Amino acid sequence: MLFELKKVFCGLFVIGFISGCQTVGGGSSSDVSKNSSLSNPLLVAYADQANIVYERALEDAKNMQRVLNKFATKPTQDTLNLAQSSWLNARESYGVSEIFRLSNGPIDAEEGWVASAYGAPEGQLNAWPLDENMIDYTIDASGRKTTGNIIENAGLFNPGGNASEPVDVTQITANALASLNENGGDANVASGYHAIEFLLWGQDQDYADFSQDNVTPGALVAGQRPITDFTTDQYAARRLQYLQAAAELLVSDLEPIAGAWKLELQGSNCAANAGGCYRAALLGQLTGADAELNIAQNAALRQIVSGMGVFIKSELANERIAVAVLTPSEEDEHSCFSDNTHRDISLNYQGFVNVLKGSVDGQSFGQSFYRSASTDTQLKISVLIKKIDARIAQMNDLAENKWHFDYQILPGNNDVNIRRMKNDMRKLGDMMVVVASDIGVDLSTDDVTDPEETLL
Amino acid sequence: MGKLPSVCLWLTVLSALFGMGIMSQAIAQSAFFTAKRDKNALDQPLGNLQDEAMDSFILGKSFFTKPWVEAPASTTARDGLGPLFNGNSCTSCHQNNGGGNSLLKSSTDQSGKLHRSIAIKLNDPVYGSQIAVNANYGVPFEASVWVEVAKTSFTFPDGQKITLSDPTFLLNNLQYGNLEAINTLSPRRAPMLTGLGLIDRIPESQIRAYADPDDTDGDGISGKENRVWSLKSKKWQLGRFGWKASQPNILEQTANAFFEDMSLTSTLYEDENCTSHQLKCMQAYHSQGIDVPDARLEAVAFYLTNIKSPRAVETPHGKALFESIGCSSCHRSNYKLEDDLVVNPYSDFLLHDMGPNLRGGLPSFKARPAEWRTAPLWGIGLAKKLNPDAGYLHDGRARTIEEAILWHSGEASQSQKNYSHLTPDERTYILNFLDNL
Repeated sequence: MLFELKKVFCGLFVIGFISGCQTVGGGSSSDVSKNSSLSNPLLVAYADQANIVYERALEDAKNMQRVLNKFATKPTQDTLNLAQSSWLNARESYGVSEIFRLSNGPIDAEEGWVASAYGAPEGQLNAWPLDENMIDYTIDASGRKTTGNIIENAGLFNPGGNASEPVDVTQITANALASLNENGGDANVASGYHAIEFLLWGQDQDYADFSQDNVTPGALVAGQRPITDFTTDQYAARRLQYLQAAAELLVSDLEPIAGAWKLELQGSNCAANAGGCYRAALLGQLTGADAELNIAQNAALRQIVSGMGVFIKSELANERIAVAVLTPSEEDEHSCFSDNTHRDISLNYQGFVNVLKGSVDGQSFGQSFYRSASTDTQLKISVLIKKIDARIAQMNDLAENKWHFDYQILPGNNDVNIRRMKNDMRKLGDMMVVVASDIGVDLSTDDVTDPEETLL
Repeated sequence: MGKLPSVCLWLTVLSALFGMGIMSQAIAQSAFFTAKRDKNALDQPLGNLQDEAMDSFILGKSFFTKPWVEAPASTTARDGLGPLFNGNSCTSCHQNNGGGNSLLKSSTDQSGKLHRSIAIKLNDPVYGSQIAVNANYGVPFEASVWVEVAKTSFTFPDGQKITLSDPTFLLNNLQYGNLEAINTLSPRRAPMLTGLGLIDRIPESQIRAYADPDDTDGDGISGKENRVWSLKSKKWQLGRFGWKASQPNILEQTANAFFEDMSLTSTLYEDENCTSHQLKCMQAYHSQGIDVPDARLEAVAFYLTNIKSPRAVETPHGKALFESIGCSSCHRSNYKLEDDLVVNPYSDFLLHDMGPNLRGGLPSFKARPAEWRTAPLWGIGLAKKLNPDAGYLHDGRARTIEEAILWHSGEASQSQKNYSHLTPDERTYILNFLDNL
């Protein structure tokens, strides 16, 4: 049977490489050359995928920045609608890139040369929940506007919290926002996609009854920030400045990540220019003094496969879906201001399937983890994917026609679909342990259950 | 291409005998180009295909033109159509090797069934990567495609008005339940099959030379190469065929079309074209082995590769206007092949952002939804000779070449504007120039 032969071949191929490179967490293999054909094809396909995906995300982020800048020069309801569309559009390509998290990759590696070279900007790009009160006014339970936020305070702003440092926000610049981010604690999120989202949509909350945590203004209505916040309000100019600064920071954070996955090295050495270096390191292609940055194949495969498992089980199924449906609280719905959470979930899942199956937009390329697995594993995965596809379709259909995600998670509003979806996704995450075993990588269920527990 | 070297060999020998001069150019010209401008214009084999090469040509032509049938059939070489398909032969959409229709049968219709020579691509777990409007007996087809046309009026600066058709595509009669994914329906009209063999031979370096994805020269044009996966060589290559330059060579484009449009399997597409959700499709009779074995697939590709291209009669005034308003920034000519043959396809084979009005394509590797490969213009004047109902642009929304020009925006905005500011006479010169390519 063709499948069996393929599986044996891939197994041998991988084992052949693993036995040649025993060092863990780096160390060069002197026989590895720049020739892509010597790199593990699974790693090559993964890197090719990252290249396509991050390039698209960056393009769309730059487009969003352009549209936001246009909005800032002429704020009207029409240009606000365009600004919102450009944000939603940028989220479409960013969402499928999140699969590259949790794998010691450029987006969020916390230690070593990868962290120093690329700065782990994930938090600055996409952290949530957001501390809305810190950014702009909110309406509290008594219907009063809160103050003490960045937008209303030109001058020195102290974010408060643990060991916080005051920042001069007389002008709201990208640098100022970067200095404010997570200044005084994780909750102090001032930048990234969701900060922009908050400014464009405003709170999606029941102004009349905050304490009950009821979800209004409607099943198919998101945040309704009035256009006057950007035109006649006394802080209109600062809001527009904030939007532009946040967009500028977002693009400058994402650009080096897209750069890390470029197909060619962008400089003569990684210290001078890290463009293309992560791809080369993952594929064992760095030479000379940089060769010590190469990632050993077994370690590379391990961090990718476990990262995939952790992402779908721990991050998507648990953090993003389970917590939302079990609470339920709007704060825990990922894109709560725009009510775009159903897209976040769809796209995160799609990104996972893309990497698993080695395809984009349905077009396959290279070697895939799915095809490298045993026929039995493939069957089990297919069953789960089919189930999850149907649940995602239900969720999307409802989100477009009846209930946004924040309503779907309420008991009785077909929340059973969401609950079962997360269960199926957890099982899919666990399947990565089996896939790992099929390709000769050692993983346990613990390794996909909690990012804190995973030893990469 | 297995047989091509013998042609090249012949050419080299002749060149050596006569010197690299006008004589060899003239002979080369007549070998590769035809003066015909009727419905047989794209049906002429390259000059002097001998014996084996001619065998491949006519074999490929036969499998390109004759209908495929449902299996099992006595004509075992021609069965295997479906279970899901759009047309039952290549020529049902590429009539006379031309292109597909302009949306609807009658230009006065406001809505109706989309002509099947415009396929709908998507990315759906149930419906797969393309909607099939036909199916074999006992298997439900996938859906029928409806198009609603909104008429918009374009007014030239000189006051002349022209009506443009803005289509919206809808799926009716879904036979396998709702679409599962949130889908963009991406129409792809069958393109004209002009000069494929010559396009294939353009050296990569000459295509790359014009790529400027970040618009570093600041001219507003940012052509981008598409980097596409070759199923046959299993590596990344420059894409040059198809609306989004998704295919790297004629063989793979052919295999892709056999599979997507007629569900004919080959060594590049071995699995049946049914998704796991489509039970009747999966359960339908499937012949043993693949439908289009390599030898036959290669023959069809050989046929397409070795058809003569139409010889353009370039009208100088029209050409000068064409260049002055900026069309040639993307619609390029003057490529030199390895045997010094100069070819003028009027395309840079790069991807360009054509603006939000022409958005709606499924992305394809480096091609984003609003990005399209510059359509080659050679032979465009023949479109209606080959297919009287021919349309233009990727979805057939333009019923004339002028309408197609007016839809240009994005990177082409300035050129479109320049065109609209020309006098009616000047516009006629350009259209006349294009008619004679």
